[in-house]
Amino acid sequence: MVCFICERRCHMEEGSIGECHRYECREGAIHERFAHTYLVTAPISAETMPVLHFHPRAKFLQISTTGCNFDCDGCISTVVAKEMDTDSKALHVLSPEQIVQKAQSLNCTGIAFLMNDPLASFFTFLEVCKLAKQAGLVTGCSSNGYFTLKTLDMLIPYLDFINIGLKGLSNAIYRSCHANSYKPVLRNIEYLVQKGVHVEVACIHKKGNESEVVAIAEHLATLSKSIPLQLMRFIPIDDAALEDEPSIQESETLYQTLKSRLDYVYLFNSPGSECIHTYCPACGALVFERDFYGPMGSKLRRIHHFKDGRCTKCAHTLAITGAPSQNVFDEEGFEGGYPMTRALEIVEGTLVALGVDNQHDVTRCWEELLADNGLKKLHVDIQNFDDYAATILFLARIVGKEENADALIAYMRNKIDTIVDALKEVTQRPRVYYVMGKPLFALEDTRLENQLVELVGGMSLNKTLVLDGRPGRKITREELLKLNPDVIFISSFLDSPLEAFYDACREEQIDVEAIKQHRVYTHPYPCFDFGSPRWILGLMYIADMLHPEIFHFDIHHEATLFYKQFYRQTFEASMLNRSFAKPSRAHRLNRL
Amino acid sequence: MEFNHSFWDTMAERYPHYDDPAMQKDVQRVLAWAKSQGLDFNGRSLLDIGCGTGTVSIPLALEKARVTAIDLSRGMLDALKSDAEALKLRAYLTSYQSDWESFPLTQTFDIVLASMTPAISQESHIDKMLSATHAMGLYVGWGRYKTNAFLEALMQAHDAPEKMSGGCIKVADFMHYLDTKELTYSYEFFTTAWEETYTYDEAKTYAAEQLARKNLSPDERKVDAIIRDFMHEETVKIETQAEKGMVLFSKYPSSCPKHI
Repeated sequence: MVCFICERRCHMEEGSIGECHRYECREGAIHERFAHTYLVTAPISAETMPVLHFHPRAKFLQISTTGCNFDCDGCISTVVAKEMDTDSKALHVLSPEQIVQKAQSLNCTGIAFLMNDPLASFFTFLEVCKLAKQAGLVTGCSSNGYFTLKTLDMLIPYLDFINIGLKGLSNAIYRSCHANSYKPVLRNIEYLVQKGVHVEVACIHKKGNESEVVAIAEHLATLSKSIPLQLMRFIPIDDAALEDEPSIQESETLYQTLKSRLDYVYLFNSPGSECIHTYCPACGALVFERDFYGPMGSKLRRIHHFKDGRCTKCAHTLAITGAPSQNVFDEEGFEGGYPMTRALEIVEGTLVALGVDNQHDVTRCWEELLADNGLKKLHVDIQNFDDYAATILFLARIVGKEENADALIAYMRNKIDTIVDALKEVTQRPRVYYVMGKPLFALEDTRLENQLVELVGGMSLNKTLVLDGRPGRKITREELLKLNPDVIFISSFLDSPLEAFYDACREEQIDVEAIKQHRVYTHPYPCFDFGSPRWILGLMYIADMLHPEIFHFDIHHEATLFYKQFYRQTFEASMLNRSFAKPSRAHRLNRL
Repeated sequence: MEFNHSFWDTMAERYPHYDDPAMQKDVQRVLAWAKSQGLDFNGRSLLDIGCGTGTVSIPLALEKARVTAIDLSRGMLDALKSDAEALKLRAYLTSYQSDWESFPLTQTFDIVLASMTPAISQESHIDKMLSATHAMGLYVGWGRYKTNAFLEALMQAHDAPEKMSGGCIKVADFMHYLDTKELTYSYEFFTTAWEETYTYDEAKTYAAEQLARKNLSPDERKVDAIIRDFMHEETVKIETQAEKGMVLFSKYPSSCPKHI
C-alpha cells in the first residue's frame, strides 16, 4: 500500500517500513512505530518556538519526538532528527493525557510540536491535539508542511497554528531532502490559510538564494500580505559549507526587499539586528521589540505601540492572534527549542576530541545527560575550565576514554598555565567587550568567552552588566559608550565581518576607544571560542590580540597540532563550519 | 595559487635575508620614500603579506612597528623567526604560515604592506589588501622592465611563454586598479640591480626551479650550455636589472599618511 502520512507517499509491503522509518504497514494499515515516545516535553515561549503573531510571549509545552520524514543536508536538528536512537533511554513514553496534564500543570497556553517534524509522529500528535482542544488548550507545530490532504484534513480541526519551513521553490531542493516536489507545501500553505489556521512561514537565507526567497515572499503575498515570513539566516553546521552563510548585513539587505512584498518579515539568527522587531505596516511604528534568543529563536523584550490588536499610533489592525501574555517566561540554559540540539552537539564535539568515532557512544552520552536533566548542569559547567575538565572526564568514563581525556585536559591546562605564567608581569588589563553579531548585542556575562578574556589578562566588561539573555542581550548605545572598551571581540559563533562591524559602529556613532584605536577582533576560524575543546585555540588567539608584546601563538600552526593529536586528522581551515560537534564538514561518525 | 610552498621552501634556503646589502638598499629606499610621504611606522600595527625571510618586516620591527607577517612558506618564516630572535624582536613580530587568499582577516591594520610578492597576483588579492587596513597601504612591485640575461636565455631555449614579472601585479596595473576604486595614492619608480653567484651545480638547480615555475622540464644539454656561457672562473654570475615601483595609498580619500 501507499503511505498517506506525507507526500513522499512511500510504497510499503505488508510488514515493511517507510523511508522515514517511522511508520510500518501492518494488517493493511499504516501504524506509527514509536508512538507517544518523547525526547522533549518542556515549557517554551512562543517567540522561541518561534511563532511571532500568535499569543505573543505565551508559554507552551514543547513536545518533540525523534526522526523526520525528510533527510536534509545541514539540518539544524540533525542530532534529533537523524542521530538519536529510537530506543534511547532518554526517550519517555507519555500518554496524551499525561502531556495535557503537564501542559496544564505548567500553566501553558497550549502545546506545540517542535524541533523534529510532527509528520514523524503524526498519530501521536493528532491524539494530543484532540485531547488538548477538549482541555481548552491551543495547539500548533513547526513542520516542513509535507502533509497529504488526508492528514491535513484529519489535523486541521484540532490545529490552531503552524509554522511551515519552506525550503525553496524548486523540486531539486526537495529532492535533496529525499522528497519530490515543493508544490504540496505551497498547496498546504494556501489550504491552511483558507481553513483559518494561523500560518507563519519560515525560509532560509543562504548566500545566492536571494531571488528564490523574494519569489517565496511574492507567492505568499498573493495569498495574504499579512502572513509573517521568518527569514532564517543560514548557520552552516553538519556538512554545510561556511561560504553559504550570509553576513547579517547581507540578510538585512534581503529583509528590506522582502518588506516591500509582505507586511511582516523577521530576520532570525542575527544578534543585535532590528529586523526581528514587529513594525506597524501602516505607519512604521515599533510594536514588539525582540532580541536574538539562540538559533531560530527570539525573545519579546518590550511592547511599544500595541493595544487590543491595534497599533496605538495609527490604529491600524495588526495581524496578531491573541493578546500578549502578561507573564514573562524565560527558558533556562539549553532549554526550549534549538539550543538543545547545540548542547548535544557540544557533547558530541567533546567526545570526538576524545577519540570517539562511533555514533553509539555519542548517543550513550546524550542519553546519560538527557535522562538525568544533565543539560542544565552542562550549560553551567562548560563556562569555566575546572568544571569543563570534570565534564570531559565524566563523558570519558561513560565511553572508556579516560586516558585521552587526561591528555586533552593536560594539554588545555598546560596552555592555560603557560599563558597565566607569562601574564605575571602584566599590570595593564585591557577592558574588553565581547559581542555577538552586531555591536550592541553583548554576550551574557557568565559565558565562557568572557572567562577566556579574563584568563588572558583582560578585564571583561560584559561581567559588569546584568544581561540575563541567551546567549546575550542587546544593550543601548549609551550603555556601550559608558563601557568604553579598549578592545572588542566578536564571537566566532556566526559571521560578522570586520568592515560591516565598523560600518555599523559608524552608523550608530559608537566612537568608543576600541573603534578609535581599531582594536576590534574576530576569530580566525569559526567556533573557536565556544562549543568545543577548540576554545583553547581561541584562548591563545585572544592572548595574541590582547598582549601582542607577549604572545605569538600561530593559531594555524597550533590548530594543526591540536587536530593531529586529538582529532587524528589534518587541519583544513576550508573544511570548518559552525558545527560544535564536527571538527570538519567531512567528519562522519561510524554507525555500528 | 600560482606557486606551491615547497618551491618557496627551496628558495628560502638561499633567499637573501634582511641584511643582504642589495636587498637592504632597496628596502631602505622604499622605507625612506614612504617616510618622506609622511608615513610613520613607530607603534603602528602593520601586516606584511608574503613577508618571505623578513626583508621588510625586520627593518620595520626595528623601527618599532607591530608587525604581523604572513607567508606561505614555512622555510621563509623559519628564517624570519631566527633573525627576529637574534635581534630580540619577538615583541614586535608575529608570523603566520598562510597564503593570502585563505588568511583569516580578524583585525584591521594601520598599514598593509605587500612587497615583491606573488601573493598579490589578481584583483581580488588587492581587494582583500584594502579590507585589511583602516588607513594606509604600501605596495612594491615590478616597474616597466626586468632583465636577467641568464633567465631570458634559459626561457628562450625552452620556448617558455613570455611573462616579465614573478607573478605579482605590476605597479602600473596596481595603480590602475586603485583608480577604479577612486583611491588616492602617491608613487615612485626606481631602478635596481643585483648579482647572484652560483656554483655550476647550484646554477643547475636554480635553472630547474625557474623552469618548474613555468611547468617546464629542463633540457640538460641546453641548460649546461647556458650555464657555461655565464661561467667565470668556476662561478656563475647572474645579474638582474629591473625597475621597481612603490605605491602608497590611502584607504579613504580624505585620510593622509600623517593622520593615521
